[in-house]
Amino acid sequence: MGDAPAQGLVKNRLREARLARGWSQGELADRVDASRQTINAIEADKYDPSLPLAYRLAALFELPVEQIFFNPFVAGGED
Amino acid sequence: MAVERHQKKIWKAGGAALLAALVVGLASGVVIVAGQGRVPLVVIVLACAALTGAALLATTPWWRRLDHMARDAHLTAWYWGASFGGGVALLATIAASGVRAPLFQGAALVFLAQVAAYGVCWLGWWAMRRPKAS
Repeated sequence: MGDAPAQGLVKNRLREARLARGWSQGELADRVDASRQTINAIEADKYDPSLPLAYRLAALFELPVEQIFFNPFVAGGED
Repeated sequence: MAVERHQKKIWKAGGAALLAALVVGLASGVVIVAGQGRVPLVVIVLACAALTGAALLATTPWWRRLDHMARDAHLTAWYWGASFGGGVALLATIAASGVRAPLFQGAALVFLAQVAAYGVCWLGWWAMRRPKAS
């Protein structure tokens, strides 16, 4: 198990998942009741989502959380 | 540029909170003016605490509608920004007027009240998160 990552270092592929659905950041934000700025910051790896928001996004995209947010504590997690 | 539904909800709740806070502010003004010299200080303090609490309660819908990141921004800004601003103001007040001046005493009272309320809030936050005894 590695050291804890600094804030904003959990990599993700939220942008890919969103674009695959053809949604804008604003549309995605409304679907998960968050702000567009939050979605933008998460996609830019500038902010880690709260656990409920991460699960909400995963449920929306019908994917396991770790297929959107890569676990930095496991080998190969930060792809 | 389209405004997201989430943002509209925040603005509505924020507007309502601001309006409620203004009403409470006006009511506080009436209480303070009416109470000066005629009502015991403890009653004035309790009335002001109730009115300030009401103003904060009025902002609850706005606070609950904010997402985690927006709340985080406010909490971070309050801790670092407000602490810094308050510290500078307190020290500058001492430098400019000395510790015996009413200006400094007022500033110190605000600071002490904030520290006390911070402590109560901090303890309450942890107390609410204690696991129930099995």
